[in-house]
Amino acid sequence: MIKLSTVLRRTTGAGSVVLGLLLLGAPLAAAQAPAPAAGAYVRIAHLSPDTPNVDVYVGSVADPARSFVVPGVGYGAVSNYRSLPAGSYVVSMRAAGAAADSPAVISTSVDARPGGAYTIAGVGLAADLGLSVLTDKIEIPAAGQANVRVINAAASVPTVDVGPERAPTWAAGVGFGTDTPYTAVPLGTWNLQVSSAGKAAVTLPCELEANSAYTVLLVDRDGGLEAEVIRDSAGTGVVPVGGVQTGFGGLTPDPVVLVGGGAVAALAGGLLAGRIASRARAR
Amino acid sequence: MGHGGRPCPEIRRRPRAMLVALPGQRARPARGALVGGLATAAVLVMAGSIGVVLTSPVDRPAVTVSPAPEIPTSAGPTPLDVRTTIVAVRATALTIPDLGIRSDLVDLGVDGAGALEVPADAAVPGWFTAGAVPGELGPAVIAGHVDSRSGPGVFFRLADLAVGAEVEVGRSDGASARYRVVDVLTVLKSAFPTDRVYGPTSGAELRLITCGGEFDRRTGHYVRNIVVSAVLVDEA
Repeated sequence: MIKLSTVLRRTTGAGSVVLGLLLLGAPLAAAQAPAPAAGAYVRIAHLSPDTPNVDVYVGSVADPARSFVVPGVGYGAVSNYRSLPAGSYVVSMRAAGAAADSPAVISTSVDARPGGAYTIAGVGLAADLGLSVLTDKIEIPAAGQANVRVINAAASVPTVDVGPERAPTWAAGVGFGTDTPYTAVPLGTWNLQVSSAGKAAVTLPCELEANSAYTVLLVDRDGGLEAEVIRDSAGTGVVPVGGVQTGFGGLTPDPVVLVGGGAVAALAGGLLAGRIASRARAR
Repeated sequence: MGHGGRPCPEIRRRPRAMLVALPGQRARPARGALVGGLATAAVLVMAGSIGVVLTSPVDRPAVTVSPAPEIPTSAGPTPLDVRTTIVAVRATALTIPDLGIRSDLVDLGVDGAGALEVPADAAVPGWFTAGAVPGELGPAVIAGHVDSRSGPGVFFRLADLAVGAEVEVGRSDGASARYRVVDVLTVLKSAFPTDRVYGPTSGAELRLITCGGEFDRRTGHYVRNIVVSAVLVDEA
């Protein structure tokens, strides 16, 4: 058995072979694996208009058993997020149905940090296919605002401007195959307009809610332009201030009344003993 | 699992999102708000009945309508029946097998100072109504007392919960969400990690909060919070 780390080092630039090996030993049992430790979120997107469907292989470097395949991902698709342990992953795309050990069309590595969220997207035209790792927003926006970014995956519109009708633009000159950083915009209902070369191409209603981040995704569809608003993350609709006062102190010894304190200590001791006993029984 | 207890994560927790901004649904050029609303409602019903799982790959019940940029109209109102149907879902029950906890839940909001309310009864935990509905995108938040004035509260042993432990939250619509603990934190209330507890997440998560550390008699409060974080169990 060759150590994974060795293989990786030896085959830099040919991660596909490594991943093939990884995945041969990584059946669908991945879903039954133990819970992730403080995890990250990863989702897959196919944003290359002229690239046929792909199978996307996500290989965990630390724990091959947590590797998985997302089969048959077509242009314009954005998967749901998948919760994974933080760590390093190798992501590869193969033509749909291609053997797991066949050379990947493209691959990249992803360093998923604890608490992070990532979108891994095949971007650009097939002749110039790239695999982008986008960091998705998980910070609390300023009060009254939401975070919004734009991904232009529509070859039919070389550059676009995106913003509400009759209001300042949120993102200007977004080229095909590129994405913008998140920008903070006011909450509420908007009639969002996507324009190309100064002409409105698509108008869509969207509702931006508190403590959330969104992606406006543009794709070519049936000879036209299609826009989709995807919610990347959501927090509580109201963000409480400070800590939570969830205790009355009844189990804390009272230093003034010695007898009472003793009684409480005895009670606590009794509870502790009970816990130890029940644990002992459980073994 | 799987006996009708699955959460329905495709159903958004806040009713205002119903019409367009759902993850996985294609917001489309306005063509007629009523038709769009009905289509969305149909998708929601479907999502509910087949129990769409949050982590299922790619294929989501997206409604795709080809662009009709020549008819730009305003969004119009969301049909009321959709709002009232969805907004009714609440967290109603909490089960933590490892701690022997099986309890109903009360509703919590924020108090006049903006802090999270706490349950009046130390034996019953509460669900923060402005957080996520269990099983749906974002953090669902449940707070419970570590003690009353005279004895242990429902979350007396919360700090003992181990990573990997299971927590189940029942909902008023009969569904339930199953989470697995990923993190048990003890923090100073004076340095409460608001971002980590209430901030945006890209999946369905759960926070269980109680008190810990020393009890400050001058303020009548413990100085620390115990925060347990859990993520929805993948059923894909």
